[in-house]
Amino acid sequence: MSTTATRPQPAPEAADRDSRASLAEWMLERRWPVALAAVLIVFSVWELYGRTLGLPEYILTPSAILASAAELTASGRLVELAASSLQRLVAGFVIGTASGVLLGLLSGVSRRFGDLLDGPVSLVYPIPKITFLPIIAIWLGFSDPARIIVIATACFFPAYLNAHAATRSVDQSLVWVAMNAGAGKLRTILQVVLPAALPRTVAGIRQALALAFIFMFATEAIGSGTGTDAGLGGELFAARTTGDYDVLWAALAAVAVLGGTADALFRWAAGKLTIGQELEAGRG
Amino acid sequence: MANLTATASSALRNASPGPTLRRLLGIALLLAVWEFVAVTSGARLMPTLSEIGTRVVFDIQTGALWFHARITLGLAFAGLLIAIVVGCAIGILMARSRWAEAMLQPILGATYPIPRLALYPILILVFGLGAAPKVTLVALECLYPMALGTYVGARAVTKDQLWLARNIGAGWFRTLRDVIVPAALPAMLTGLRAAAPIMLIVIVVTEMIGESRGLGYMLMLARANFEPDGVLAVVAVLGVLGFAFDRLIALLTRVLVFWERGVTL
Repeated sequence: MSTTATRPQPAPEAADRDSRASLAEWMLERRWPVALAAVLIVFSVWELYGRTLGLPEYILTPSAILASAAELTASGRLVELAASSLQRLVAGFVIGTASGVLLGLLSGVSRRFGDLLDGPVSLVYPIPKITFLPIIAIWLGFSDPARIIVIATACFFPAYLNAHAATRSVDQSLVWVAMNAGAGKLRTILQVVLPAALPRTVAGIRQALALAFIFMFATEAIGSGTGTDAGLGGELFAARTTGDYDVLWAALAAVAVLGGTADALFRWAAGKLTIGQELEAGRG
Repeated sequence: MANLTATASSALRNASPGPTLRRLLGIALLLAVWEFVAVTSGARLMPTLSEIGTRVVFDIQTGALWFHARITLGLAFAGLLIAIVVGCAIGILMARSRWAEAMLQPILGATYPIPRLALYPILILVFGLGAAPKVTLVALECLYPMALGTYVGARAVTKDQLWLARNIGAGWFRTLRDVIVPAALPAMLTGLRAAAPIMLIVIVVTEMIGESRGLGYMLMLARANFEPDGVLAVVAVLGVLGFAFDRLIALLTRVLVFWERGVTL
C-alpha cells in the first residue's frame, strides 16, 4: 500500500482540532480502526433495530446469534458438524493443492512435461468444477470420497496454474548466475528457482484455500443428508427448511469464523515463509 | 482471485508458440484414456465420448437445453450486471476517498475467504424462492473481483493526471469519464475476467440446490434418472460456455483497451 505514503501533515492549529485530526489520521493510517468502527456501527444498528422495532423471526440479532452459537457449541452439536466439515475440507485441500503445486512446479521446470499437461488443464479449467459432483455421485454416491474428490479438483487449478506461472516467470538472469557459479541443475532448481517461485505459489495456495471453503459448503449443500455427516453446509440448508433459525445463524457464524481464521492463519504462516519477498499477488 | 485467469492465459500463451502439438497431444491423451476406460468398462456408468456428443445433440433437438440455458444465463447475467455497476462504483470510491478505502478494504479482505454461498438460505428467507436470491448471490460473489479490480486500476491514476484534468477545467464527471475510467479499464476487465467463471459456478450451484429449471437442475435431474451421459452433456455445455465467455472478455479487452496491446491480460 504505497498511496498513503505521500500526504501533507495537518497544519498546527488549535490543540483540540489538532488532536481530533490526528485521531482521524491515526485511524486512516492503520485502516482497520475505520473498518472496525463501521462494522461495530452496523452491528449495533442491527441489534438496536431488532430490540426496538423487531425483525422478522428468521433474522436473528447479533446477540441472539452469539447465544445460539454458544449453546450449540456447549451441546457439542456445532463442534461435531464443524469437525466433519473440516475433515473433508482438509483432505480435499491437501490432496488438491499438493498435487497442483507439485505438477505445477514440475511443468514449470520441464517445458516438455508442462506442454503435455497444459492441454488437459486448459480443457478442464473452464468447466465449473462443482458440476463434477453429480457425475462422481453416480459412481460413488453423495459420500465423503465424492465430496473430497470435488474439493481436491477445485483446489488443484489455482495451485497448479500459479505454481506453473511462478516457475516460468523466474528471472532468467538468476538462473544464469547460479549456473555460472557452478551450481548443477538440481541445485539451481532447489536453491534458486523454488525460492523465487515461492511467493506466487503461496498466493495460488491461498486462492485454493478460499475455494476449498466454498466447495466444502457447496458439496454439503447439494444432495446432503441431515445425519451426523451433514456438516455445516448440510445443516444450514436443512435448518432453513425446518425453520430452526438459531441453528441456521449459528452454522453461518461458524462458517464465517472458520473461513476467516483459516485465511488469517495461512497468511501469517505464508508471511513467515516468504520473509523479505513481496506477497503481492495473494492480496484478496 | 483476480489474477487467476490472467495466470491461466499467460501460462497458456507461454506454452503456445512452438509446442502446440504437444499440448494437443496432452488433450488427445486425456480423451483417449477416457474413451478406453469407457469402452472397456462397458457399463452405462461411464459413457463414451460419442455417446456424450449424441446426448448433447439430442438435448438441443428437444429444446430442453435451450430452455434451461436461457433461464440460467438470464439470471447469471442479471447478477453480473449488478456486480459490475456496484463493484465499479465501490472500486472507484475506494480509490478516490481515503475514508472509503480505510473502511472497505479491510472488510473486503476479511470477508473474501468466507463462502458467500452460506448466505443463500438467508437470501431465500428474505426474498423467497425464485430468481431474486440467485441474482443477489451471483452479484454478491462477482462483486469482489469487480470492486478489487476497479480499485487497483483506479488507484493507478496519478496526481499529475488529476491536476491536469482540473487545470483544464474538467468537472468531476468529465474527470471520471475521461481520466479515471480509461486508466482503470484494463484492471476492471481483469476483474470481469475473474468474475465470469465465478458467475457460472454460483448460478449452477444455486440451481443444483432445489430448483426445477436451469442447467443446474438439468444436471441433478439426469443424475436422479441415473443418466451419466445426460450429466456429462450438461458439463460439456457448461465448459463450452465458460470457455466462450473467457474468449469474449479477452476480445472485449483487445477492442476496448486497444492502447495496451501486448500487455498481459
